[in-house]
Amino acid sequence: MNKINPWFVAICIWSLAPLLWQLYTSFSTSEALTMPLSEVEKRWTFDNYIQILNAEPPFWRYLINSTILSLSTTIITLILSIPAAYSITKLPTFIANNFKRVLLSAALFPYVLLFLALLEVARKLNIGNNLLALSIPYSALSIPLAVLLISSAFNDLPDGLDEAARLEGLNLFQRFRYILVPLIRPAVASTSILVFIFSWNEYPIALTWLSKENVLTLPVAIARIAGSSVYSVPYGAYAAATVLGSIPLLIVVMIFQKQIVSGLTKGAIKG
Amino acid sequence: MNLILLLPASCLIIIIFGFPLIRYTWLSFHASTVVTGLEPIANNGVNWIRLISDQRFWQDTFQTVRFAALSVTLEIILALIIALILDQRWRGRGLVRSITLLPWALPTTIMALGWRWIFNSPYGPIEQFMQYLNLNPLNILSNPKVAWLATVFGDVWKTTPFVAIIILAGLQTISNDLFEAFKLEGGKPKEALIEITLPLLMPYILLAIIFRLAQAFGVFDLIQIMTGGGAS
Repeated sequence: MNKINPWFVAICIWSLAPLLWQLYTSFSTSEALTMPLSEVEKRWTFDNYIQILNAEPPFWRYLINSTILSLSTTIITLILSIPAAYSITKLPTFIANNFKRVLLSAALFPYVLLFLALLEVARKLNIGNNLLALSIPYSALSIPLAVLLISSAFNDLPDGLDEAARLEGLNLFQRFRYILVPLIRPAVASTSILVFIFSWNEYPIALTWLSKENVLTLPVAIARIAGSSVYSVPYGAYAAATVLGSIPLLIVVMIFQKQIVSGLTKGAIKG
Repeated sequence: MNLILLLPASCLIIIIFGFPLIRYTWLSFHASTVVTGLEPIANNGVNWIRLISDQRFWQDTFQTVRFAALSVTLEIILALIIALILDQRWRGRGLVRSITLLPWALPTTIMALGWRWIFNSPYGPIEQFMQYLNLNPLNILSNPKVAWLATVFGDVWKTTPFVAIIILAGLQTISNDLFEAFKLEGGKPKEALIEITLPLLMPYILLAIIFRLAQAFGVFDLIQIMTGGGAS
């Protein structure tokens, strides 16, 4: 049992190799990158990191922006989805099933098609460079899957539970607060993480809504580094940005692996 | 009372999904150019006729279908292998599962640029390797004939974990008794894969195909960044 499974190693190499290449690039000088097979004077450097951390705005600004946006999206999504999911479980089966079907097609809809018209709205309302405003369309895109996941968790609760709590004199809010939400905590957790990762990674809408340097999210900022010149991409600095930008997600995946797996599985199967 | 709980979420979905679709439909039957004073006026479906008769539109459609078909096929095959491996009970399974998930969790933009660097000519590792072997450079991303294959590769790397997780969930629903019974009947392990595992996995594989096709048709960031919008 103590032997290492060679297949496991193969999977790890497949998943990690491109990332390790970024790590290597981020610590290399540009001479080392352009002449990898010949002797160069200075091969390793921290300059790439120093460069992006001293840029204007500094790189951690984008990390903060992405965190704010992802957290606000997750919170809005949960606040709207939990009551909606609960109310679906109270609908007659026929209506509830059709409703779920609509939600599923919304969840599967290639949302990239929506971004032009959404941009028009953002321009009209003048909310283009506002991170909190951006979390509204993000929430709308996340709600379909969130409602499906959470309502299936409500469905799994014992039948008379909600009714019994109501007869005990708890009002709707108290039932959510003390009985229902605590019991579906696993589903809420996996939903939150999926929504968080979606908002952290979303690109087309963020690209069109955000233009001011200091409100950019991580994916847009990184794409900008690449777009700064047609002929040469500053790969060293870019790789350093990749490494720093990957660390938060690395931590999220390592800690919440179980919730992510259960969210993806339930989302696909029960939806 | 219950419907009030449903209302905010439904309204938001209707606005964010509904408005763009209605707006596009309306615009698609109108023209808005300098000639019309930038005011939209109805033009009785001329836009649609122009779209259908435009060679480029059909070429783009063909490229999208080709991209989706190839990447989803490869993803299913690879995910099946990964799921079968992850289903085995070995030490460190949790860690390997986390590592498998990583490509899926990272922003597409980040890895799209990563791939652009890996496929870079002449400094990326692939071209360096070709040079080391004294072979001709491949120029993968600058050659439109093969650049789309590189984007397929990037897409496969990123989304195989998603498919693998769904198939793995399917694998775990298959009872071990079936394999025991099959062995007692004198079946070989390799036959069990074809006779038991694959047929029982079919619903899960179909599910993954539907999900992935829907996403592959909307793929944007990967291709925009890897090729600058050139190939697809």
